[in-house]
Formats: sequence, C-alpha cells, structure tokens
Amino acid sequence: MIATMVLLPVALMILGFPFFLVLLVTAAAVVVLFGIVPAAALHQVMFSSIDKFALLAVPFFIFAGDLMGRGGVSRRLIRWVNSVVGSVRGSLPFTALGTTVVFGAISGSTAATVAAIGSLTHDRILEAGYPEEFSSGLLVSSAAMSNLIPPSIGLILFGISSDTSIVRLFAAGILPGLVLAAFFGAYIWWYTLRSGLGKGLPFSLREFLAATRDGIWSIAAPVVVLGGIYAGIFSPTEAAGIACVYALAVVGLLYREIGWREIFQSASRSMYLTAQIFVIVAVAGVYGWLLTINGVPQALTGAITDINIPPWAILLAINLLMLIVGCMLDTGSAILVFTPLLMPLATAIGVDPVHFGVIMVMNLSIGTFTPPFGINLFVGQAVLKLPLSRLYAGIVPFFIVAILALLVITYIPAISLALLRFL
Amino acid sequence: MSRWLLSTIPMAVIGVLMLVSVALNGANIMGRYLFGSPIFWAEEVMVYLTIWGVFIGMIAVAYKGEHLSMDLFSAGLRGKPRIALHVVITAVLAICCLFTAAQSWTVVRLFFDTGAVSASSKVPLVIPHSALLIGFTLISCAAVIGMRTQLKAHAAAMARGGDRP
Repeated sequence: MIATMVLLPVALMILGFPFFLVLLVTAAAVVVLFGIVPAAALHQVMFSSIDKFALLAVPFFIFAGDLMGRGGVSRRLIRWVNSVVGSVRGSLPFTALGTTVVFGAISGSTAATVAAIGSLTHDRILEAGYPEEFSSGLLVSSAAMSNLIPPSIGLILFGISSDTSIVRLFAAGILPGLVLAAFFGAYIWWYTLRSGLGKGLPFSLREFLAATRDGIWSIAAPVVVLGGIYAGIFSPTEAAGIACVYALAVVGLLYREIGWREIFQSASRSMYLTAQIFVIVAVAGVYGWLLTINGVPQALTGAITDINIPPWAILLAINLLMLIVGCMLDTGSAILVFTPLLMPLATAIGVDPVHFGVIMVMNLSIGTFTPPFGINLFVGQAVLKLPLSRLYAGIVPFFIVAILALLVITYIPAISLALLRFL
Repeated sequence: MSRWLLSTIPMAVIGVLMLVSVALNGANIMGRYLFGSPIFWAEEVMVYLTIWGVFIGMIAVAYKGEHLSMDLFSAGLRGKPRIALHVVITAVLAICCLFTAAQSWTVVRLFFDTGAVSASSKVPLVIPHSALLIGFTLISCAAVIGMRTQLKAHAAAMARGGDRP
C-alpha cells in the first residue's frame, strides 16, 4: 500500500496529470484496493479539509492583491519608493526591490507581484542602461519575497496543514523576507558599483511629499492589512476581508482607474484561482489522512532519527528536497503534500514548527523563479515579453544569492522567531 | 453553447459568490467591532459560499483544462501521442470524479434523510455537502466536453494547415 501511495502519484505527476487528480486517483486506489476505510470517507475528509474559516484568508488576500495590483496602487508605490531611494546608486533596481517588499505586504501572490511591479519598472530599468538579464532576473526573483512577507498564501496553507498559528507564522515571515531583500539589495549594490551604472539623483523633498500625498492610501495598505493582525484585533481571515473592503474603496472610489466591471472580473479571477488551489487542499486532506492512518510520517521520522543523522544535515536534506520539489510543483500543492510528511521529522529533531514553516515556504518561494515550472518565469515571460532562455540567464545570480539567504535563515532560527516574543 | 454553460456562467457565479463573501465578512467585522453585535452565522455561511465557489469554479477550470499540473513530460509530446495522453487524462478524470460523486451521494442522502443542520447558521447540511456531489459530477462532464471542443479546434487548425499541437 505504501508503494501505491508513493509510486502511483509520482508516475501520474510525471505523465502530466492535474495535481488534484494525482492525489484523487491515489486516494481512490487505496480506498478501493485495500478497503481500510469506507469509500464515503473520501467525501467526508475532503469536505472537512476545506470547511475551515481560516482558509478564507486565501481568496480574500488574492482578491485584495489582484485589485490593488490593477487599480493603480502599484504605480503609486513605485513613485513613492523611488522618491525615497532615488538618491542612492542603483536607485531604479532598488525602487523595484523596495516596491516588491511593500507590495508583498499587500499581496500574498508572487505571480501578482511580478505582473504588478514588472510591467511598470522593467522598461525604466532598461532605459537606465541595465542589461535585460539583470532587470528581468531581479523582477522575477525578488517577487518570491511576497511568499514570505505576510500576508502569504504559502504560510496560510502551511498553518492550516500543520495546525500552526497563522498569526505566529505571519510574524515569523517578516524578518526572513527582509533578510532575503537585504541579500538581493547587497547584490544590486555590488552590481551597480562594478558596472558603474545607476548614479542616483539628489533627494527631492518636494517629490517625496508629492509622492507621499499621491500614494498615501497605497502606502497605508500594509498597515491596514497587517496592523490589526499584529495588534491582536483581527484574525488573519478578518484582516483579509478588511483588505478587500479597503482595496475596493481605494481602487473603486478613490483612484477610479478601473471600473466596476473590472472589479467583478477580478472577483471571478480570484475565486477561479482559489478553486484551483482549494480542490488540491481538499484532496490533499484525504491523501494526508491516508498517510497518517497508515503511519507513514511516523515511520519516516523513526527511520531517519534511528540512523543518527545530525539535525543540521537533516535540515540541509530537507532544503535540497524542497528546492527540487519547488522547481517541479506549485507552492500550495507542495506544502499540502509535504507538510504532513516532514513536520513530525522536523519536530523530532527539535526544529520549531514556525521556523520550519518559514524554511519550507522560503524553499518553495525560490522554486517560483527556477526552471522548469517557476510560475514567476511564465508570468515574467508574458509581462516582460522575453523568451524563457533570457530569463533563465537572468535569474542565476539571484538564485545563488537566495540560496545564501536560505542557509542563513535555516541555520539562524532567531531570525524567524525573534518577532514572536512581541505577540 | 457549451462554453457559455461551462465557463461563462460559472465564472459569473463565482464572481458573485466572492463579492457576497466579501460583503458578508465586511458586515460581520463592522457588526463585531463597531456595534458589538457580530453576525453569528456569517463565518459558517462564508465557508459554505466558498466551498460552492470552489466547485463551481472547478467546472470552468475543467472545461478550459487549466488545472495546476506538472507538464514536463506531456509538453514534449506532439501530435497523436499528445492527443492520446490528453484523452487518457480526461477519461481518468471523468471516472475518478464520478466515483467521488457517487461517494458524495451516499453522504448527501444521509444528510437529507436525517435533516441535519449546521451549528450556527442552521443551514441544512445537505446544501454545502451537495457542492461536492454536483461539483464532481459537472467537473467530469465539463472535462469531457472541454476536451471534445479542444480536439475539434485542433482538427480544424490541422485542416487549415496550422500549428501541430
């Protein structure tokens, strides 16, 4: 039976079966062939896997992010960040990076971030003389921070999957997200120094004030979205709902750059994306349940801890596994399948569940901009109008930098856990 | 006609469900924090709206064939092998979804017979649970019809001397 649960999904996945079908076929095969549980349990476990109020944060954050990305928020954020960092060397790449950080605190989707920021900054970076590979590599890879900086769809799914507090995961994601941004920033700094590109313009207080006035509702969005969560006032789902109302008010009533028709289309698109994710949540619930009642995670944990591998080596192996998985699967699917398997192992070697969530999501975030299936690459290809081969060349230095940041975040748990004491 | 039924209408319905959920969440939060009187049934109903949204959305996903998948192997196939794999995947999807719908039928019938209702909103449980029954049934239909439409479009493109899939 274990072979069926491991080999069958791998074979179906390689053949290109939809991911929800891979898990559904496997679960149905186990139920029909081995008869250890009644077949009606398929329905019951699937339903209970998505019958969770906490999961509603996912569609709400997707909708809020989509609305803000299309409704003029990203353009105002870019102007504001540029007014702040415009005087430093490499100001345009730093503007793109800074805006990605701020936009990541509104949207939990890396693809939405590439689309929103990439489309508005790529040409300007090229006009300043930077090579196409550098600009595309920066935009496609820095968007991965959106997966770490809350609100993060990946952290929500990890929280649901591992029964870990989403608020604690959100707090834990902030510093690792900023560390990753700092590593990218260091590379930009080194690159601009070496190439002599991107001399900054003198700081203009007038432009800063004008950009702040113009973009105040956009700049305030992360505070509105996340402030209530960290202050302990709202649950993540409530905050996500507030983010939607805020986005509707700002985009629909204040900026008016898109009409109600586009807002409705955004709502449809967000639920469509949610459907693609949640059907996997439902079926992965059955798969995870079958794994658990058959003792697979416990057996895996026992087998690995029995051979006395040091925890640092296990973490390194988990990182390698997750990096490879991240190259093949989307973040949500990977979290839903691998969390029940790896969480007992991580706990057994003394890794804090919150820290483990950050490690897992960061690995899979790197997978969003690595071949062959990095979603950011495909969005970047469409938005930046570049062939994949150019994008592949562009991401190499950013991939190396991200791996260095990953190692730092993996082996210094304090980076993830430092902010938890303030909750 | 099939596109209208299996893509346009589901997309419109899920847009409405999303906006209703957002409105309900906003009203609940305002009720709780401004007026000290939350809508006690709101959370349950929002979850049920989302469950329906997921399975109605999946009808459109199945019709368009836009499932999340890893197509490393299938992307390399051309011509008849690619079509054959597409047919096999659709057939497995249809069979599996119908099998799951049959299991859902057992559970839905049970809720119908017992008349069980949810804890807060007193919504008959047959309503949210039917989302899976109806959803999986229509997903299998949409996948088959969507594949037929895509194969017809492909055949027409081949007849015009267009790109090979």
